[in-house]
Amino acid sequence: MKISCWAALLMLVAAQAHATPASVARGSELKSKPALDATKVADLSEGEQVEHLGNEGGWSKIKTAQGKTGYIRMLNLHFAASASNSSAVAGLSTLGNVARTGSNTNVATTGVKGVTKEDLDKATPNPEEVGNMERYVVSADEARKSAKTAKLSPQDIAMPEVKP
Amino acid sequence: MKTKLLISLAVASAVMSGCVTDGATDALKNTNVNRDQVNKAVDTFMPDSGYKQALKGAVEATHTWTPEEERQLGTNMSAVLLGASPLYKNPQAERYVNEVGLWIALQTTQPDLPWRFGILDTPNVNAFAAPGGYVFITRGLLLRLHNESELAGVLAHEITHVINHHHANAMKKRGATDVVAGLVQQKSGSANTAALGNLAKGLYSSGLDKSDEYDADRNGVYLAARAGYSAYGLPSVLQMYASTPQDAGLQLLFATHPDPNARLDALNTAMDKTNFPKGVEDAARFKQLQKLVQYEAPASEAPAAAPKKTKKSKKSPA
Ligand SMILES: [Zn+2]
Repeated sequence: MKISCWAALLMLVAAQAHATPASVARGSELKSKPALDATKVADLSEGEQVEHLGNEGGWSKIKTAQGKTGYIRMLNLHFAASASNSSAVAGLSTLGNVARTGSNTNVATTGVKGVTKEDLDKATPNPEEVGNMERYVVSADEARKSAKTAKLSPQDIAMPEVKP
Repeated sequence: MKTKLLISLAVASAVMSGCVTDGATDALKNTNVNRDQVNKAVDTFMPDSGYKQALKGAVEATHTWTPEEERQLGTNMSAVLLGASPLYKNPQAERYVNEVGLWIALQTTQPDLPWRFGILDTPNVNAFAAPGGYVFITRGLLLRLHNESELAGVLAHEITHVINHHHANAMKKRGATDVVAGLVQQKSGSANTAALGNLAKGLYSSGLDKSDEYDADRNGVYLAARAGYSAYGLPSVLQMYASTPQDAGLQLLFATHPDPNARLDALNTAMDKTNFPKGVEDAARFKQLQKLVQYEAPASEAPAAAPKKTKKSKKSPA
């Protein structure tokens, strides 16, 4: 029973990943494909409420209130945290807090830490742990080799100009 | 020599009176005169007054750290973060984040810094940087990312904070210069360590200037693209932040960064004129990582039973 509560929580989080409420940040076109030269499906006006379904490259797949599906430039969207999914998400990111403050003594309370303002306030600097980072150091060659397995190669892209 | 001091003094006065361009501040930074000498000159040529102290402060603010000082500062600041939350001691996961992070850092102007990347073992969602090459990401954030280009975007943002000395400059403004110099010279270690720890807690709790965050977003996107990733990893993470309620696990992130919708708008402007290559979005090694950082569902007790209620604050649309 309790395990199924946990499973339900995870499912809720997973379901939430499929459609997220969003709004159109500035007037733009809904395209049939994630490309500038794709055919227009509809005009989208600023502030229009839509559902965000996912991203492809620089494009977001969305569904309009009229039920039309298509693509919009990813950076032409805004989002607002919806209240309905708040408890599910809180379950994940504050998992540690719950375990730490859990009323049941069987819940593990050791080794779960946070980096909230309060945690930082109470923190005692741990220089030894900084030293422990040396265990996981990789060499430049190892990083390059691993990047190759991920099909990464350096691109000749100029960094943006420094703002005056 | 004397001429140089006088020029420095003139530039410093101009800095103080607020009528100076960045170029002139750089000129002050680039003179080979150390701040002790400038302070001496101030003492010699200026009558005692409030202006005198302000001028000395302006000189402090333009002092350039040595790489050694910056590393020392970063080590002490990292000790504070790791004091709040230890490393996630899974060697495979930690090495993976170092591989991705170093690969991106190799595409910057400072590939030879002793770059160190670490996973903080906390479900809270955040990422941090410290001067001299330290970058941290929380286990909670890793779990929320969808692909490796998103991780690249987060790390490239933090790497930019290091490259552009954002935290070092902020700590300087908070008065850390003498404390760090003392630590490097190994003078009154414990007092200086404690003082620096408190300055670091203050900075991590209140965050950098918003302009530094926008700078890290803008440069982070281009840096990730230089490393061969899709440029849209970071924007995708910002979408996730923007659509996530501000529960306790994300409180510090939201308190220390501009509104995610405003960050998306700024990137829309910044990325407008560049035609980015498609780039790599994901890799098999990222999927393995996500398995490694997963929290096990407790066998007997469901933590879902009592999620802590936190005050919800409304995000204003940008
Ligand atoms: Zn930042």
